Amino acid sequence: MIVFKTFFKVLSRYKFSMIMYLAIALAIITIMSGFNSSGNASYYSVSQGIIVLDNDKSEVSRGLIAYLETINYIYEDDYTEEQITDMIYYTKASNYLIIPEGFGEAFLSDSGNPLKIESTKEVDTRMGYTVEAEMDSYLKLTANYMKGGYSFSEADELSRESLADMSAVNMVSEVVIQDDKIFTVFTILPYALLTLLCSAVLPVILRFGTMLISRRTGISSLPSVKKQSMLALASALVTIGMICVLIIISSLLSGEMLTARWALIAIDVIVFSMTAVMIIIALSSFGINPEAAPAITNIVALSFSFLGGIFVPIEHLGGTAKAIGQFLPTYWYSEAIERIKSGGGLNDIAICLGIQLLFGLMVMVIGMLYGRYNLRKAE
Amino acid sequence: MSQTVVEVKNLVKRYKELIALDNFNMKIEKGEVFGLLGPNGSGKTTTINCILSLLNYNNGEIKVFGEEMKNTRYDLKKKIGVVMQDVAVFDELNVYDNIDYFCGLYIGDKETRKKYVEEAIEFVGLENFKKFRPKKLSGGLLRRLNIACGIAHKPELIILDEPTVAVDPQSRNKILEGITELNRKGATIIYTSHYMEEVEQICTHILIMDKGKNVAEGTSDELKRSIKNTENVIVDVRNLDEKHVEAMKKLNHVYEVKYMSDRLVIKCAGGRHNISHVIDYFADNNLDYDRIYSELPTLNDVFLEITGTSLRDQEA
Ligand SMILES: Nc1ncnc2c1ncn2[C@@H]1O[C@H](COP(=O)(O)OP(=O)(O)O)[C@@H](O)[C@H]1O
Ligand SMILES: [Mg+2]
Repeated sequence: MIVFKTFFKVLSRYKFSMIMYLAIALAIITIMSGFNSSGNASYYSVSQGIIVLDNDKSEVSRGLIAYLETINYIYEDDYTEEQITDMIYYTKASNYLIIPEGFGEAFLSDSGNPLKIESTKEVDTRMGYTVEAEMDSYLKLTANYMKGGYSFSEADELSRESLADMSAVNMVSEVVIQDDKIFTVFTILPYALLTLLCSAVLPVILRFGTMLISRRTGISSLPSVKKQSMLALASALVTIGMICVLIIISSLLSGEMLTARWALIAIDVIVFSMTAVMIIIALSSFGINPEAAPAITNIVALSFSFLGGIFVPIEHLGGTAKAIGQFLPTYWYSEAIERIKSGGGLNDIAICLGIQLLFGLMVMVIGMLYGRYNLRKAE
Repeated sequence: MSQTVVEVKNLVKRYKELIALDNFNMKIEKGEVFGLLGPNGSGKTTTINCILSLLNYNNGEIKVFGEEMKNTRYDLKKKIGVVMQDVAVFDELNVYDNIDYFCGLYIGDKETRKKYVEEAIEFVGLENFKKFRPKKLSGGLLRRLNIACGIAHKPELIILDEPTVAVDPQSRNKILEGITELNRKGATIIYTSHYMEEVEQICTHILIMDKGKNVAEGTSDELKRSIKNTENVIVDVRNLDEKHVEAMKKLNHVYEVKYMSDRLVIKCAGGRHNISHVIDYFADNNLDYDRIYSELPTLNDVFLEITGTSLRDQEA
């Protein structure tokens, strides 16, 4: 009991930093959600690279490509599969489109059953969806004009004119992206949670784990299993408390609660929190001085958040940053949010949740092994 | 009948190549203030850590209260209070809460603990500092807090590892008096130090250790009687010629003469009037001196004679 009670006494010494980091997170959320609703255009009007393999070479496929070229940049050379993967990976191209043979014929035949264009894209990039939306709008509009009796070349011209009138932004937000506040708000939650855990829970665990305190506790008549479970229980309670507070605040800010997608996001949050706790446990095995907690807070929370696409969408990061980012749980947290955003269900985000937990387990095992090694070295 | 509280037999502890404890033996009886005296690095802390099962050892046997000591013997640990060499407290907690935590590791009952914590605070004289955090305490007060944390649960055996290092004289006296007081109330004490004066002042039994070995033990008087040195005559004198130093070596009962930094030390074994023989020599040779006095051997002389090095030399 005394360990449990003392945990909270020590924790209370960190209440100032908890309040401060919570305030910072709230400020970021407020700024970001304001920025997002007014600043969408800057993301979507950017022209994209598109790799096209035209197996059809019909009037329709050429018309479609010509239209896409008015907005984007088209790569139409013979690329190897590896080159294509690289181009998409390094965001040189957002999509790889394969227009099947007979596409034009099927489109003109008016069967109402057009052949599908295969589009490969980075799942997490909004750019990929933008291109698909552009393609979709053009084809639908052209088909409509043709139903109205125009020839393909007339319909093509009319579609282009009317699409040019609409801004790309409107088109995008109408067709695909419902940039609801809930996603912006919850995307930032991991930053808040990481700062809270690293600045308050971590130093308390580190304090109990300092060589002097843990030895002094170890020679007492309190079994070490009892001590460890008290510490674990207290940390778990504090973390759960933090999650609840953060979920409630985020829900209030986004004005959405208890909907299906809210529940999915909540699951993502809980999984991320479990991962974060495992990261904290790993960090605590490295015998770091509790006074270093503020530095750790900034390093871990900021780097994880930036590289994981929490502050800036991942497609805006450079190649290396992106490559590193993909190993971080924050990346998979935001990936899950993106998938929920584009209508994904639990099945679609399961892999993201799994990878987060895997990351946590991995660093925790590394931490434990290191702790053991250190103990042996001290003998 | 006396009762053995701690028994250490043939203890061997190696740190890689270094042999920190070399077949070390020690036996502590109930009611003793047992002094473990040795220079820095002689293995005092290692011995304590082995007794407390904080360290694994390579060979030997350790019994506490007549039973084999192991890391999981929580029943034995309950009866031991430890004041470690390095102050171990929470920087985030105030004096009261620190003592409450360490006492709480042993004492579950809230009421009892409250009483014990108050008593410990009073015992070390920190009544006016209850709400102070460790960072605000001076070195001496911090040591007193460390002691309060170790003894608040009223253990039968109290182990103090160099509790007076870097402590002002006032706090040091308070600490030494306190230890005697705890012993008077029934606790058995193990006290380690490299200050022979302290050990001499409070310990009823002294064990001198060097390089991981038990080199001598007994009461302070027994130890001093065991060596050939019985008296040291010291003369403060300037520019003494080497020939006089050599000549004085030939005086009766004198077995060693050293002259260094204007101080002449004449070591004698036996004889009653050694100082007058020295005074006579100075008078006969018409030599001036500033001061002359005689000293009985100290524990340092005991250590010097047995190990060939001085406790004090190694302090530096
Ligand atoms: N963890 C350790 N690793 C290696 N050597 C150690 C370790 N702890 C102590 N020693 C060495 O063991 C010897 C005894 O040290 P210690 O027991 O601390 O002496 P004392 O407490 O008498 O000053 C010293 O030579 C010291 O350098
Ligand atoms: Mg020591």
